[in-house]
Amino acid sequence: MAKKWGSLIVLTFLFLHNVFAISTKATAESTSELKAPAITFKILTDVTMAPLLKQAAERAKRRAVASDQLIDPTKMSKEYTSFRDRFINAKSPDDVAREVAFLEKGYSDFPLDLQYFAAQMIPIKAFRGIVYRMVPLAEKENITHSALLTTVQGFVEQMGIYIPKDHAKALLDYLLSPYVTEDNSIVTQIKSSADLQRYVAQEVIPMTSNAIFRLQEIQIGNNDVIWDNTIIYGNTAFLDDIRRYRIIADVDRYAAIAHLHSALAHLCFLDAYNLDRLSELLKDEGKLVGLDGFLAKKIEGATSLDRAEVMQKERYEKLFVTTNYANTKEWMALSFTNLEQSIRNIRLVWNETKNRPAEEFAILDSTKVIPWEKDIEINLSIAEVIMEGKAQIRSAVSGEKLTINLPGFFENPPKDLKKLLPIVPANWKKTDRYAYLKLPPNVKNPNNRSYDDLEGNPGTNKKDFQYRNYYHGQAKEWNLDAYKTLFPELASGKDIKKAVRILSETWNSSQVTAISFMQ
Amino acid sequence: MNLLERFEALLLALYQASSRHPRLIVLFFILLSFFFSFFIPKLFFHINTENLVDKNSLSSNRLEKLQQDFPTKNSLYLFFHSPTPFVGNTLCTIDSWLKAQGRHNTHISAIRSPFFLRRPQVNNELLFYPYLIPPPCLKENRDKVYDFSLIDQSPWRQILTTKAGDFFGVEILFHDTPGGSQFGKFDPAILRAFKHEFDSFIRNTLPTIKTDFLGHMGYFHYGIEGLAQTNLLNVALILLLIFLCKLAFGTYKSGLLLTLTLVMMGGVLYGAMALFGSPVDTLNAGLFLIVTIAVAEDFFFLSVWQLQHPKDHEDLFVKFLVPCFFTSFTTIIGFGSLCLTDLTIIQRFGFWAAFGALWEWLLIFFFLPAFLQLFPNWKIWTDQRKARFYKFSKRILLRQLPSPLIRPLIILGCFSLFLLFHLKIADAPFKIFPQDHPFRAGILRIQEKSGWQVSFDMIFENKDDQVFNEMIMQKLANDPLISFVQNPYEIERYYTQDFPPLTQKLILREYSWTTDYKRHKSSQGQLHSTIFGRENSIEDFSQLIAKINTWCENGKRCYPTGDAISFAEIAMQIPKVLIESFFYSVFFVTAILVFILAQTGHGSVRNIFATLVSSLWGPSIMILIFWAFGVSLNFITCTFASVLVGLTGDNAVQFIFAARRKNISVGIVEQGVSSIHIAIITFLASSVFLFSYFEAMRTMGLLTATGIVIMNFGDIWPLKKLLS
Repeated sequence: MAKKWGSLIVLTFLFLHNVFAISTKATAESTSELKAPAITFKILTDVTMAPLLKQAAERAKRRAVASDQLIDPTKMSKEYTSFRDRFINAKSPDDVAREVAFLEKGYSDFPLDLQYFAAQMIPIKAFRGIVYRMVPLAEKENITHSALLTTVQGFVEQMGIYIPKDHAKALLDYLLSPYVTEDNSIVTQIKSSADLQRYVAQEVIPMTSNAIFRLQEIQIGNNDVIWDNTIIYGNTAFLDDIRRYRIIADVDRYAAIAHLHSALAHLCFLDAYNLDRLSELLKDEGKLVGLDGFLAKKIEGATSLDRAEVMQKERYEKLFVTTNYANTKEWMALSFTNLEQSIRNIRLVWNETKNRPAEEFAILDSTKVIPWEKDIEINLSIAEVIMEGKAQIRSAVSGEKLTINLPGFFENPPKDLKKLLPIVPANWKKTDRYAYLKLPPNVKNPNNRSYDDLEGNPGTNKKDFQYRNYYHGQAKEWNLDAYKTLFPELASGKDIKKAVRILSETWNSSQVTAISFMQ
Repeated sequence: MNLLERFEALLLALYQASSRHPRLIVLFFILLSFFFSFFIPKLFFHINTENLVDKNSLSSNRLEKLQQDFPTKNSLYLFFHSPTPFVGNTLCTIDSWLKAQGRHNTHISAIRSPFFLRRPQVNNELLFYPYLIPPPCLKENRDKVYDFSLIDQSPWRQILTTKAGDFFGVEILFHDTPGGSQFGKFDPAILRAFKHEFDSFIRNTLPTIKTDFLGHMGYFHYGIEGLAQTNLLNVALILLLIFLCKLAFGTYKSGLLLTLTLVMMGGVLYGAMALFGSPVDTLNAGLFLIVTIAVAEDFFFLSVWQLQHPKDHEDLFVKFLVPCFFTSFTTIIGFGSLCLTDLTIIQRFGFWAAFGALWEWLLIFFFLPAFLQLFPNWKIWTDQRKARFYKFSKRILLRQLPSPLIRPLIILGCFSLFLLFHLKIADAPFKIFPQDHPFRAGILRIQEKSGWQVSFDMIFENKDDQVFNEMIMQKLANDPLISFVQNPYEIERYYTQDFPPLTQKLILREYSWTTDYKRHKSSQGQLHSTIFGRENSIEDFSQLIAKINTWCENGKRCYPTGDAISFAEIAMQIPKVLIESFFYSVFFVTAILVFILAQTGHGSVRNIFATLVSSLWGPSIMILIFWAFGVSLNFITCTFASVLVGLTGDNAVQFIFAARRKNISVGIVEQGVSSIHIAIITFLASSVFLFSYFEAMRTMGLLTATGIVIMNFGDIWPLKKLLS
């Protein structure tokens, strides 16, 4: 009896919880009116790339620094060293905030080395107190809460072990702690997916775009820009100066730009679709794999169809769906632009790096990548061609061709990303999750039962002969229409599997299209 | 005391000072010789055309860029000839051996074989790249008789195969040797070992197959062989000179003394070259031979005089000190005039030859007397009783040539000078080898089978400027000199024709990952096309280069490069080098002769006219011979004229000094025997050149031998006539 009551209480709680969740989600603001910001960085085209590639080739011919004793720290500007000294003496998040504000305010008057540092440091402003701000959203579901909390705690512990410095702790606190804003209020928290998307759109993306623009404006050329590792490890590190400094060149600048573009591409994608109930979905998906939820469930694994089925529940009707298609298209276009710009900047980095002499004291040392030169070159060329428009790729294993149109996909993105999920057949669960071992007549199982007993003896337990059917729950067909923009020449929804295989057998293309996610 | 007398006094004072310290002088020269010889192992040898081109010149920069931007460097072509069309089994044996080499020989960077050629094929949704010709090692192809008709219809036709199927070639690229070698960036020992293995493989496995070892590395290999043989030739010349001295002067002592000075000169010469980083190249490979022939005459003048005046040995060196200085000086000027030309390789040769001549004079007039003081038994190194040529030379000298013959000859000599502007230039890298040399024979076989003899490279600055680039390639293809143009765009069309646009792009992309693509298109945006020429005729090539320069807007949009082009560019400068060096040489030698004539009391117009005309008669007649017999000039033989002028003045100087305060005719009588002796010995010694590995050196030997005879004839009989 007690057991029954217990179950009832739990069920009631779950019901109430869900109702509450639905009601709170329903009141959350929609993000459909979030518009993609205008592009504030310079766009590289074939025309503008040509001279940059030539410059990269010229720079690659320069001689390498043979010894770190040849790096001349006196070439660091006074402003840079002065900032460094203040920064590594920071004791509190406010000290860090003051230095970040200093960087932002005086940026245009800084010498080259400090500008290079500042351009990449200023965006941290958008992340002040990010952990505190994310707490309400993270706490919504146990699975996300637990994972994020563990990650943050682990990170904080590791920082204490590996960089036990006051300025490192100050920087960490800058990211972890709440703070009082200019209008004397505690910084607002991110309570919903919509808040998160708004935060990304209004704070992170502008900061990152600005960082890209600033890096684009910097021309290092033959100037000495030196990175001082004490900025990370503090003023008690590198007392003998050995391995303290690194040479920074334009190639590193392009690498930084490529990285920021790549981050922006993902952030824009994040803002293109409605993410309401994402945390709930994660919880539901968690249940599938035996995490979260109160009711113990037999572990059955989370097959493709299991996961697709969860996502296609009615309650997730608006998740991953556009509510303003024009805005979605703009976000996706911006995402693609950043993806493409990232690839173009990687090309600049690669062309220079592969031809550079080995240089131990460069940030990008060619000796670390040259062994993979052919792979990198091929991967990059495929990435570039996929960015250009409709293209064919080929399985290096079977020789099968696949036509892919990544720009087409970004130009006409699906209105509902869930349409990309595999089709869940109505009766798929009826197919048995188990197979049965049909023993020969004279062979008995450990319970001394023969297979004939199963046929003739109703009391025989079927489980005595069963083992798991690992083929159960596989995706077999997809919605062809949803994939038509991405794979325009596929004949059947069943061919998505083949397309995915060809992508995986083609150099790096799967990474570019992130198609494996769609499974 | 006039200027000459003051100079004589100065030289004499130097000589006497050295005579007072014979031990010190001998020790000084020996130590110096040892010091320089110490550097000889560090001597660099440059064989290939890229090393003949002036460093930092446009041609050199283009060659270097070609090697940097396109994987074409250190290329060896192996060609296989079968009496009948190849069968699968034979091809399989070759193919397997080559693949094994590619896997196990770490010096090989790539192999291009007709068996590696592929062509895209689309079958439903599949795209794959089967071999263009069936792999010979497949069981079903082992007994198959092969023809290469499929390659004949492809963009690789005429390069490595012919339709008939009895001939095919492969290209093997080698890595540079880490650390390089004395011979440049590559160590020839690697190639020698490879060739040895290759020859053994063919000899033991496929004895009926004939092979050719060609290309840049083939040339390098045989060039190094030639250099090694030239070293043997140097030894042979020394031995021959010892033998000839025994005949001419009656003793071995004479030959040994000459050898001593020559060996010391050679040690200092090559040691100094090594010390100052001056390499041995195909031109100065014969430096020792040429300098020896040119400078040994001082010793011969001394020896003939000693032969004539055996009791006069105490004053021997004093008597010849100044005349021989001037004979050496004219020789130095002859060689030195080459330093005023525009080609570094010729400047280098001229400088070191002049240095060698100067050093030999110092050895003969300072080291040798001191040495003889220390070893008095060697003071008389001639024996008239045993000398063979003496009476013969005397008889010849007394002969008078009839006036009707000598006058036209003099006039002919005067006018022949103008033929200098009409000499034929014919040169090609492979022509340094004799006609029957395997390299040259191989080139001719390739020409017979594939219709090309030489290849060069065209670089187009913008690979995307297809219309312009193809227009130039078409113009080249239409040129009668060109047999075949490998058009990179044609390869792309060949790969993509009949396929839909997207598949074409896919194929081109996958092609761009191949080594073959990198041969044609650089990451810097340039296009490389290989052009195959029917013949390696420099005259035609220079015209073609001029045309290409016009088409390419003087190198702005495209330019030709490669060994053949660089060589042609050198060869095109040959007439200028010849004329410049000849006239510089004539000018300086004339000035010296006039100075000596004036200072010795022979400054009458008649004497000056007679001396100058007779001195220049020899070289002029040689120019006539060049012209009449169609002897073509190359970068080696073009140095000949100035060398000859330098030598020519020598006899005149000896005659003038021998005839001080007398008629020059007296000097001819006194020193004429020496001149004839020298002519005979040098003529015979020059025969060593005929055994040279290099064709140009053989020609040079023949020319030297002929030139010496004619020059001595001119120095004696026309002079006699003109003075009378």
